[in-house]
Amino acid sequence: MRPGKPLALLAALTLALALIGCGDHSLILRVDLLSFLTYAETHAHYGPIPNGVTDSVTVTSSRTINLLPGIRDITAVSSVSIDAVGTFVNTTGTGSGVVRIYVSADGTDPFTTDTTPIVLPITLAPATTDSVAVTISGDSELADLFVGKTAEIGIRLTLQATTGPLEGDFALTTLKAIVTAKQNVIN
Amino acid sequence: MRTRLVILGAVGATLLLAAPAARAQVSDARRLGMGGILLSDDRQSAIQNVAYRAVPRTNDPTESYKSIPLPLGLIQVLADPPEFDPKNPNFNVFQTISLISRTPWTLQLIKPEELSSDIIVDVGQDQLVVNLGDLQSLFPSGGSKIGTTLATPNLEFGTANIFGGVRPQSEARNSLNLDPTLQAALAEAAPFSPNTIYGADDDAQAQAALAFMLGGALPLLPPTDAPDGNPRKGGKAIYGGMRAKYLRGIALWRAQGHAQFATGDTIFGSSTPIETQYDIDVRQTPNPGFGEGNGFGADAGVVFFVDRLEVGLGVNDIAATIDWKDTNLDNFTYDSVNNVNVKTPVSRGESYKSRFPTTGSFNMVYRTKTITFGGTLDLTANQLWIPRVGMETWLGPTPLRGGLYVGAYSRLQFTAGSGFKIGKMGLDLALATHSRGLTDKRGLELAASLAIY
Repeated sequence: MRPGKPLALLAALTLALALIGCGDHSLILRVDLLSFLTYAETHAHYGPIPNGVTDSVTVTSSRTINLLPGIRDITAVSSVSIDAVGTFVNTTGTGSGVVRIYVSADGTDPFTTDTTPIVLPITLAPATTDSVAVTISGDSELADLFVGKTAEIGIRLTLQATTGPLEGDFALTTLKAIVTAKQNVIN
Repeated sequence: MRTRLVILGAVGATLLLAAPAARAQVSDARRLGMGGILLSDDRQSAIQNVAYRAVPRTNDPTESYKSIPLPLGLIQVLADPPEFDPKNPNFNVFQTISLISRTPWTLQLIKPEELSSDIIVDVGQDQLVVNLGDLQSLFPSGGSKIGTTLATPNLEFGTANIFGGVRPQSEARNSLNLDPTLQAALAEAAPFSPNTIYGADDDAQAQAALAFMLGGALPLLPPTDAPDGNPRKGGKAIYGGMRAKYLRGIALWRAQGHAQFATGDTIFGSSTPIETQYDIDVRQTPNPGFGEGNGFGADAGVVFFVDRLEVGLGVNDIAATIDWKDTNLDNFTYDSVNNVNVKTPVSRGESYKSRFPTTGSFNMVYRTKTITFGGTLDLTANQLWIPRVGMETWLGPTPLRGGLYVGAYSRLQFTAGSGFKIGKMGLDLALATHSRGLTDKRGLELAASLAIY
């Protein structure tokens, strides 16, 4: 979406959003972040990682996602929550790992800008499939990212093998942000 | 800030489109108590049907009176006025817009409940769903039309048969029509689809003039077999009237436009961006003032009385046009290449002919010895039909009234009224529900009128 273009779109499409000002309405913005990522950006193979070694795999390199434009101009964010679910199909080895999901403002490197990424810890056992889920309530700073017209996202997997070789596959199956906002056109 | 202003403008305009104005309410408390029906008893009925001018007044206080509506609503607004200064922190455009849904004559006793559901927007790479909840009702499938003709009571002088007068006359109306795709997206939470055009057409006009009137009304068939010469009590009579108007134009503003956006292969993709277009023509008088335009129009009416049945047809602003001698036409559009809004002057000092919408009323009234029944079908300035029914009976000096009408959002509304009469003076009170403003819920208002018999 070209920058600036959404103005007219906004007038036509989200006049409804402005109606939240005529009562005690909230705008609930549910962003399916996973849908903006390709298969390759949500799936990764890790290992084999030898005993006692820590390794990192970048699942999603820093990339820009386009969101609903103009929302920031008419809303005041009151809360945000993020749901993330990942699945590990661990074939061999034991160990622990953590998935970190980094989100930052347009034009920045999420891996360096976001110092408080979303974290999904996991303990891995051989020949097991485990899911890990987290729901976090973010602060207004994080919420502000999801009401912009674009955001940067990056996902990185860090694994430490206790008994090697640690090897398997990871898939991010849910990544959703729910932003609650009040209108801020008038006040 | 620019974005906020653009959005504010869009929101304001949109809400103006969406909010039904105070189009369905009548000012006279007696008539309002009877659902707003039109009947010969009220002398002000001659505004809607000029033939009533010739219908004889009687000594029966229930059949001939002059109503003076009390501006209860105006007092309420003045007592607690909204903030009009956009720079003031207390300014709220929704409160300001809600003024158009108020009438100066009625006191709001129960404010309509505001729509309360949240708005949920689902966004995905190829998904956009806007669920307005209760607010979906603000986008009726037949499009949104609002409009009102504002006119003071006629300042008419003369006899029942020949008369002249003057009054300010203005109108404001707007018609918004959404494409079926956009209608479904907003009113039914249908998902926005790829490679689809979402558009809306709008037609808005506001104009003001001073009307100088000269008219005549007379019995086409004098009362025959009518007790005391009063056709309301029986017998037959026909009355007709016509009022010619010379319109002195003061100001005109008119806009016609189309806006649309088209989604690409992927709604939020980067390779196939959403394409946005709008094209709006705005014509206006650059120097509003007395004498900017000249025009003519006419009102006509006829009333039949047959055996206590009263049938009237009044048509107003027939062929009412104004020739404006000096208007400017500008075109507004969007330059997608440079991402700027573009204003292009099209013409300057051009003459232009505008018209006032024709309005009308068809009414039927039947009187027994104790009860008056009636119904009216009003055609409003925005070409909407409003049906009304009502009745009245008197218990000594106290009337009892009730009525129904179909108001905004096609909702059935209820009215009731009473009052008292002492000598040649009386007070009429009416309670009426309504669903005006940014809600389809019902509120309750009170009207009061002095009656001079």
